[in-house]
Amino acid sequence: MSQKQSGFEATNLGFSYDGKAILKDINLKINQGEFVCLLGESGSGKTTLLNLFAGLTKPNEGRISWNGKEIEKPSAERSVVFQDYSLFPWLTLLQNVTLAIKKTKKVKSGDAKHLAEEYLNLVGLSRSLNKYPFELSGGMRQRGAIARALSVGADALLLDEPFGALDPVNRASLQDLVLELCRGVKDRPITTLFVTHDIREAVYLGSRIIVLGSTPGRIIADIPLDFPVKKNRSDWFRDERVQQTIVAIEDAYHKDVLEKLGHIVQGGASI
Amino acid sequence: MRTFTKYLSKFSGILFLLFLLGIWTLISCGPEWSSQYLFPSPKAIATALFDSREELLRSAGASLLKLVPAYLVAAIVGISIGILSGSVSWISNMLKPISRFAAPIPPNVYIPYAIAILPTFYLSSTFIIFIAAFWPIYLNTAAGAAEIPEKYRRNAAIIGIGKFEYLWRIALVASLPSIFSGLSVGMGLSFIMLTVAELFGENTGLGHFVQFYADYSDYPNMVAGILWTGIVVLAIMELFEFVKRKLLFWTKAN
Repeated sequence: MSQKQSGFEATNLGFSYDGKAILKDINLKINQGEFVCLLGESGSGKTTLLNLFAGLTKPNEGRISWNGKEIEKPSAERSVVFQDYSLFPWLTLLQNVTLAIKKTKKVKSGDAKHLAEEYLNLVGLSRSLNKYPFELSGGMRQRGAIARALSVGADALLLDEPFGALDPVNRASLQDLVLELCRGVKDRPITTLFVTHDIREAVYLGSRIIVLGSTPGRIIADIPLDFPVKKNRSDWFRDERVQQTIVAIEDAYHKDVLEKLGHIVQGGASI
Repeated sequence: MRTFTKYLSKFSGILFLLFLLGIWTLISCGPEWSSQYLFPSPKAIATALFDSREELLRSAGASLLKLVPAYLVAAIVGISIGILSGSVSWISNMLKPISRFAAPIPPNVYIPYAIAILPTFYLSSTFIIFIAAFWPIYLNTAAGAAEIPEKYRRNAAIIGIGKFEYLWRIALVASLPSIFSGLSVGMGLSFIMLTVAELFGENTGLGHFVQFYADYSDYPNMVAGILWTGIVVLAIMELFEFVKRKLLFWTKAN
């Protein structure tokens, strides 16, 4: 495997909309198998950056690639889970996942259905195969969305605040599920980009954290993490190194906000 | 007392109908030279309904033979063009001026021209029904397809659904709530145009039945015709609602 060419790479990436710069000078390399959490306040362009990696949006400046190839359009290799509504409401869970498999892999209907069942079992939804999204809780819908994203044989998973609307209990169990799945499904390590604005969630999940500052969105911190094995959630969060990381991220945020305030004050004084 | 009010509220619809029937009966008992002539008694109407049952059924059949094909063609054409127009911007731009101009024209003003250019009266009435049903179906479908939430487009793109497949697999299904609004308005308008067309020129159908007996001042049969039309329309609308509920089950939670 050529490490040089694998994973995501963004070079001098910029994106603007209606003349307003949303992202500027993003240089980022995400290696294969890495679990990167993208943190940033609202309006920092986190979702835009995820959409660029997904191929749902095209950049105005710079280039963006996956495994050395320019990203031009969405592909099953880079699957996406949105905060909500990743499933079509008029199809059952099984139909949703089967449709995705049939569209992305050249398999027979029966095989696609078996594969879909397998992935839905993997996320703990074996009893709800024939339920429609409106019959499921938010957590179950997101499990379904994750099953669909993985079932198409994705090598990269892009998650856009997937657990933002969930209660804390569901959130915790889904975090653990994602961690487990992204370590490797069927011996396939998954490159993950997880967008969130929750610092604790990012620290718990990520092997690396990228913090975006706002207006325009740019990288203000890139923090690699190498933490003890997560056995007990509350003990783990009490670990000193974890605490220090959380503080470091908060500091990066505050510094960015203060710098921005400084600009405003200076600008105001010069008038 | 509370239970009495509860029952009164529950059955108020039926009670009000009985109340109206009572008033009608009272009027029909008035002096023979006025009321009985124009307001036949419920018994006379029921007798007319029973005696004319074959003719009423034939009339309903004749009306449906005009309505159903015209409405179905309007639905197929209106939904197809509507989906295209709501999803593809150049088609939408191309059709916008003509639809803004032509849609508000009341369909009945086409009647004389339709009679002049089409070879049979059957064709002209189906054409008028088509026009009446087409615009609301087309406009609602186009609006629905244009307002499909971005999430559906993105999900479709992520799992590799192409542009053409998107139209029928996603846009068509996601627009169903709007399509049904259009179908419902179109159904109401096409009934109006059907009976208008039959009142004036046709020699078959429900409108013709009513007009025919009105011409002979046979008011029990005429009122029976009106009541029967109401029953047929109600039955079709109920069937329509049933299909709508079946197809739109997934909108419950949204």
